[in-house]
Amino acid sequence: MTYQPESGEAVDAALPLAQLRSAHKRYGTTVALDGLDLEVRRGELLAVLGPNGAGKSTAIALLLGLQRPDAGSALLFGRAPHSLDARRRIGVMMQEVALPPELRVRELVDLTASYYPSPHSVEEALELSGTRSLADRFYSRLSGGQKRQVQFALAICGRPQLLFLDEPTIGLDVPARETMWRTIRRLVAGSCSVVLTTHYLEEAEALADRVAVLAKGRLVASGSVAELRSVVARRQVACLTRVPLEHIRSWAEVETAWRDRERTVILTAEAEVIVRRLLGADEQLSELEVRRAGLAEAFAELTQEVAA
Amino acid sequence: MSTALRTGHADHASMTPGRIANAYWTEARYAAVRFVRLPALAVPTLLFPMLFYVLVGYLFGVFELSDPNAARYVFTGFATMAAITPGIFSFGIGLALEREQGLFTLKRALPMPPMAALLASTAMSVLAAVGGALVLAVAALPLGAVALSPATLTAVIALVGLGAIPFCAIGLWLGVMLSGRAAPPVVNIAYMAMIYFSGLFIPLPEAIRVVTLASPAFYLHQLMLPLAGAPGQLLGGVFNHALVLGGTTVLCLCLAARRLERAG
Repeated sequence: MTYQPESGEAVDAALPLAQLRSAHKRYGTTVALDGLDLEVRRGELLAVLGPNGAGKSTAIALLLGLQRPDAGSALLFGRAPHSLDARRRIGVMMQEVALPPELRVRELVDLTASYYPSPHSVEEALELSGTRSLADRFYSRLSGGQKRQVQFALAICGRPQLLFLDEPTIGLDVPARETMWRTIRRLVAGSCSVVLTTHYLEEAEALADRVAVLAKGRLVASGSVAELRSVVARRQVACLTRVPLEHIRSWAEVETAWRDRERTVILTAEAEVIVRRLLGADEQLSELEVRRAGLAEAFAELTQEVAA
Repeated sequence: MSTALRTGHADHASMTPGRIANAYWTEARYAAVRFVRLPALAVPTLLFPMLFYVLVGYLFGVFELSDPNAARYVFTGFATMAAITPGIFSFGIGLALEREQGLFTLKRALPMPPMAALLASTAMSVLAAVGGALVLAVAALPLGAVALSPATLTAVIALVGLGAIPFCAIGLWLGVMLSGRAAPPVVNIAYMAMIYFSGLFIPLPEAIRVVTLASPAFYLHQLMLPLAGAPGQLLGGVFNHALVLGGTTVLCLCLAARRLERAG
């Protein structure tokens, strides 16, 4: 399938929707991006993770056309990101934005939808974002979590093909977060691509098809959640045991160990060895559980390697 | 199980002329709604010229002056104030706050038609200036403080509307230069200084009168005086006054665009 931009050139459906190629960006002497390559494919949810200062915000700013790379290139739907044609295909939810406090929620959605060629109706956008009950309230009267929901409504009202979500669930209660996750999944199922930046790693783990980890302005890892988890050799062993914690910590294979209520939790690269030792030392041992490291541990390991 | 949500069709990226017109109209409509719901902007814009006119009129005995030109001078001075106020404040402070609070960045990322916000805010400022001048006229004429024919009054009010545009450009420049925190005090000081050093209400002493030449408000006032039937101060005539105001507009727009290009 191809689509025909205003200029007339055909853009192949297989091409990435958004792309940074060897993007460099400096702020004075600070290097924000150091030859970053990043692409967003059709119909995927890409989680962009990284510690503070890794270059996530700069990468997104380049893809949105808010800044230009010092070297390299940024493309959105195969063209310059600041072009109107490219921007009509995206929705944006920024982390820090104060919308006009004197407008009602319904009016904000109506205004934003007017920028798009074939938007959702206001009622549809309110329904999808779970903000129908807020429709007639002034933006200034909303709680922090409700404001995030309204910003999400503005991001999706234009029926975007690519959605940028920056920390979308900060301040949301559990039902609101679940509503937002459900809508994001429906959007992805309908072939909308999503770029998600979040500090909640469980959010990335729950939603992402692919994760890109940035550190010091470079891409240090990219792959599915399972692939990233597999790069971390460490596993977590948890059980109920009478073996003293100090004794466990003295074993060479143990990286660290701690108590979580009655359970003993051990982090190790050699789970089998530890399990054998535990069973040998405590016949009464129970509720043994071994699991691979989560995205949080993988993220920490990947970014620590770069920082070292 | 939840169903998939259809995204926009790829061939829908271009807007029909009707959709584009709707985007401009919607932006203008909500600029008006925001103005009406924002007393901090609406009250000074619509009422301050009239309130200060009445205050100055009574305190300094301007309404008792027998010279009709003096009465016209003061009336057109406050009409000029009505033209200055909305653009300076709505752009100067409003834009600075929008930049600081992220709304300006969001608007740049969204596919808002080019110039939609600028045109909407400018149109609102023009309407607000006309509104301020009308309120001023409604107060001045029944008081007998100034005598203007309906045609003259219409021309003066039209000039107030047109004259608001250069001050939108000045406000725009201030709004892109200043931080949200600095904008309110700096814009207020700039506004008060511009009003005083333009000699809008009372001509400045001879020794410092030359500073009026640096104030765009002075040139708008000079355009308004002959329109209201009072002599101007003959500093180059209508063409030169209009040229200064037009040049100020272009210069401020260029400076603002350059600043935005560099700093965002």
